[in-house]
Amino acid sequence: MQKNLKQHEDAFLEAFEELSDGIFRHCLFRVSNREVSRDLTQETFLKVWQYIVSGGEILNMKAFLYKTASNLVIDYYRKKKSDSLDVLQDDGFDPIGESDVEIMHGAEVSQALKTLEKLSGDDREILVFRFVDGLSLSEIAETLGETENVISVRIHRALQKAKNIFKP
Amino acid sequence: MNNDFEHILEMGSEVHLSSGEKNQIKSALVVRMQEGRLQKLSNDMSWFVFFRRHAIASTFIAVLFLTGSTSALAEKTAPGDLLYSLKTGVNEQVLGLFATSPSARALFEISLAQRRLSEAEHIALSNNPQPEVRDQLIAQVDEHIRKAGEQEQATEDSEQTDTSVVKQNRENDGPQPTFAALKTFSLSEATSTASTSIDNVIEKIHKANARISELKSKNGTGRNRIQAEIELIGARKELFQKKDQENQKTAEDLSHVVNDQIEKVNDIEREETDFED
Repeated sequence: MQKNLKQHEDAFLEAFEELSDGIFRHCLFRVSNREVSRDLTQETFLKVWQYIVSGGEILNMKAFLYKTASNLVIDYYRKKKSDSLDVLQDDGFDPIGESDVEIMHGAEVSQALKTLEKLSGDDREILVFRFVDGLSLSEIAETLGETENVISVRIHRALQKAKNIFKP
Repeated sequence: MNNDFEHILEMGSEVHLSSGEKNQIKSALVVRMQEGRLQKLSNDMSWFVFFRRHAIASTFIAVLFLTGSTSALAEKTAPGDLLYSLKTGVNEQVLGLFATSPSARALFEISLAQRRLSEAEHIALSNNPQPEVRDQLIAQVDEHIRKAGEQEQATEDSEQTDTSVVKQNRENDGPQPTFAALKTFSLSEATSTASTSIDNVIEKIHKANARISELKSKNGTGRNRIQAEIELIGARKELFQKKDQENQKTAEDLSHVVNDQIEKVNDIEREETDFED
């Protein structure tokens, strides 16, 4: 049993090395905040590890990690909605300004993020999955529990909306 | 322009965690893994630590459990079984320790007599009757009845109501066998009184049972109750012996009949052989 746990640990740390950047990217393009994205990335891996330790079975680690990260982003927005900005600032929360994102990731990425912010959560999610995370249609379908056809249609519609908004 | 947005999004794939950020997250993950390992180890060790801390109590409980279950198994044994000696040598001796007063000791001896009699009945009905074991058990029944009688003599009769009930019953039943008469029950005497019918003994058992029930309903635990119990076990023993004798006699008669028939068949065969010659 101890040996099994060690094997799980090694495999999970390998998955971390391989997928942590992708999870972080996914979070960043969903919440537009590097610090929050980093925290969400950490929480994603800790939650999935907890799931493994408690005996949970994971068939596709990549899909499971992205699904967990996506759920945490949704939770983050729910929490953000319930907490007013004043309360957050009173607690010492200092969101990174747009200029910080621009400095860190360049003007074009900053512009893309602004466009994504104007989309609905679902549209933003599917575009990030497809173009930022580089997931295939089948991987997105597995992550979101939809068919590939549905995913294809959703991507097409979300892309149309984004292109109408995007002004480089 | 349409391709620009997709291209810019794809450029986002170059965004990544800094090595410092990555190490920070990895450290948190490794710490969590170590905590989990310690927690698991702690869970695994908790029983071991508990038993180690309470070694004496744990051992005592284990011994108690083992001896208790063995003792319970021994209760169902009959003479010749592996645990029978545990039943008579330990279980019954321990039970006897709780009988402190003369009346309690008398009732305890009666209960032992009942046990031995039940074992004798069990053996008599089994495929292997073992007459010598049965006789030993009956002898033990006599011994327990004798001891119960001694304790009965020492018992203070503190229940006047019981006495009146017993006296009244005895007047109704006619002359009752005294303990002195009862304690002389033995295998030889039972044989000599074989003329007494089984029905009379059964009648005696019914009367003793009725008397005990009456005394029990009046919470009688004194000398009268003990006398009634002794009468009952004595009558039960007598019934067993009479039925046993009857069975033996029937078996002997049947054996004679079978032997006669075999002899007749042999005679016929001899005659046929002579005729052929």
